[in-house]
Amino acid sequence: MDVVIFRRKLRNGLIFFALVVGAVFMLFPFLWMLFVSLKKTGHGFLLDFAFAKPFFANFKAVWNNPSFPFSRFFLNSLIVATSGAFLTALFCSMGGYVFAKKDFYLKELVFWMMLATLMVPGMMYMVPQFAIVTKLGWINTYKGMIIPHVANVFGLFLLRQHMETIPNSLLDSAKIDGASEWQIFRTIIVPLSLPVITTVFLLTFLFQWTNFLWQLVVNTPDSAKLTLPVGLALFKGQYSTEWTKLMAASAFSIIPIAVLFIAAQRFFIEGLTAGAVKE
Amino acid sequence: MAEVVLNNVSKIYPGGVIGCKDINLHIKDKEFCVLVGPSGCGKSTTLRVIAGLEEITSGELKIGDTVVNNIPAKDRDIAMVFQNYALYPHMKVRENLAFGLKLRKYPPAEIEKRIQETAKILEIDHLLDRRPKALSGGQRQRVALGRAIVRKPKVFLFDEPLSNLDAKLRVQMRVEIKKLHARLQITSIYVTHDQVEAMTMGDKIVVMKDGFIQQIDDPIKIYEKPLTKFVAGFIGSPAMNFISVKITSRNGNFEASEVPSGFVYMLKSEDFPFLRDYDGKEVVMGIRPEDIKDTIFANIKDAENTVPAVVEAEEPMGSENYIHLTTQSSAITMKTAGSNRVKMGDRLNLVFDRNKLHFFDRETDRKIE
Repeated sequence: MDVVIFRRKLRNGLIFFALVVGAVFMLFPFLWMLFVSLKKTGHGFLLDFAFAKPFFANFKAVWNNPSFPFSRFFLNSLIVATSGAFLTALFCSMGGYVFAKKDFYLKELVFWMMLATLMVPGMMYMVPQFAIVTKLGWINTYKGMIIPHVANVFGLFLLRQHMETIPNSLLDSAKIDGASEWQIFRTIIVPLSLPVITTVFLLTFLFQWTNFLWQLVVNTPDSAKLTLPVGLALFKGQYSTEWTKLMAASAFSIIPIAVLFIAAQRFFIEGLTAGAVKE
Repeated sequence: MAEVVLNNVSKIYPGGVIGCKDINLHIKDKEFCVLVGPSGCGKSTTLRVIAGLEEITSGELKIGDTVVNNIPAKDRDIAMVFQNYALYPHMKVRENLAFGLKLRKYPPAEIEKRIQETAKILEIDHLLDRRPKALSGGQRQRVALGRAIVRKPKVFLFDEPLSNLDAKLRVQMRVEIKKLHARLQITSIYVTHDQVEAMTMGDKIVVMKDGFIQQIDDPIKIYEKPLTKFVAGFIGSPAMNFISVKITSRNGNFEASEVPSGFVYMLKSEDFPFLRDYDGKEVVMGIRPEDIKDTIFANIKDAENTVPAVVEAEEPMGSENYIHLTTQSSAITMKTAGSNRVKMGDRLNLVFDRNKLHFFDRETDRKIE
């Protein structure tokens, strides 16, 4: 009996140890970023404990630097990521509803053709998209950064798959209760798909928040609409890089994502596992 | 309050699949009409056509005095109870009940009054602040009923509402729905595949098969005078026995000889004059299990017209006993008193109640009269 308990404890201990190692491995870059962001200028890559004075000097310097409008970048990123994620979640929900619950000519073919576009690398679209955005005069605008990425086939696929599991009788019932198509969408479909919609919102937010290349392409260096990833790149000078300030700015940049994920963690996990089991 | 009239209503799906065809049905005001039939017979399609959830391919549908062919479901003033309850899972019971009223812009005080009234009738007033997942099957069904009655519609539609409940609760809810109908006096159309539900609940029964109506009548007439072999076999439990026989005229009467071989049963020509046209032909003879007696149990002395059969199995139900027998070419089920017990292999001499014999044409399956 004792041997059995010992073995169980040993097994649990080993699992716990493996998880701790995994967690440290995953957390190390974050901890290193925080560590460096608190150090004195020039000590970024030195294994010492020469911290900046005052302690949060790098953070203060980043936020209040007149030649480097960090708060502006932050706000731009927030606008682009939030509105991009909101519009994507909205359109994917509406599209998902139509593909899941409505019948129209060539529905399946259209859907699978859209899905097939996922196999084409995103970079392939960059040149034609840039040409269109330029033609529309959307360079250095929020529109140019947001709209080309609002159509999200993966989000559409995720929502369609989820919405197909919503029983048709609920929609029939709402119809008989007197609901219009829009009311059915707003009062039945959206609340029942909220975990998956949240997932699409978070994934899109994350994508837009960290999107560097497209936002570099559609902004000129003097643009007032530069976002954080592009702004952070400005820290990397031609001859030197202020690592301590770069890390402080990076630490700032992960705050919204961390807050969003912690707040919506439950929905996010529900969304990713939705439909995995029959309830 | 309203009557529902279907004139030659058909629903044909793309590819020519028949949902329902040439449905002619007149459901009177306050009537409880049951559509019954096996899966795929078109009963649910007919109900969905009436609800406005399926477009009519051809024909005319009237609710009250209005032709509603082109009126959307929400404007037909009907309410529907679904098999899987279709309660909105993200709303509390109160919100489920209020949903339809809110959409129709009823004042909040009126909504609250109706919710309270409905909750009282269905005894769900203590459940108003719960979500559907916190309710049992029976409670969910009550809420689904509540959502229908709270609107005080012209017509109630029920789509197999008791199928998901266990047997005991089903019987209980059956009675409750009947009581509710008696109290509210609203025209109701009820779809089920369960012939017991149909028999016990309907003022009028519509038996359907393959998208067509087989017979419309009150429950007792349907049971006693089925117009087709299908209706005769579908209504009644255990089902009616069917025996293939050949009719031969002999000495002014008829002989019904089991086909291909077996017993010979004598039929007086004055009782069955309609068999004259079938002299020399095969027909299907039908007899309900309760209309078969045994010479021993029925204490019939010197019965001259009996059918010998061997016991294959029995199903003692307590108050009654179902005995499964075989003749030379047919299987027969007999319903007798619970105290009449038999053993496998026993030989019985069966006596048919001649007044309860049915004959069906082999080709058309229609009753020979």
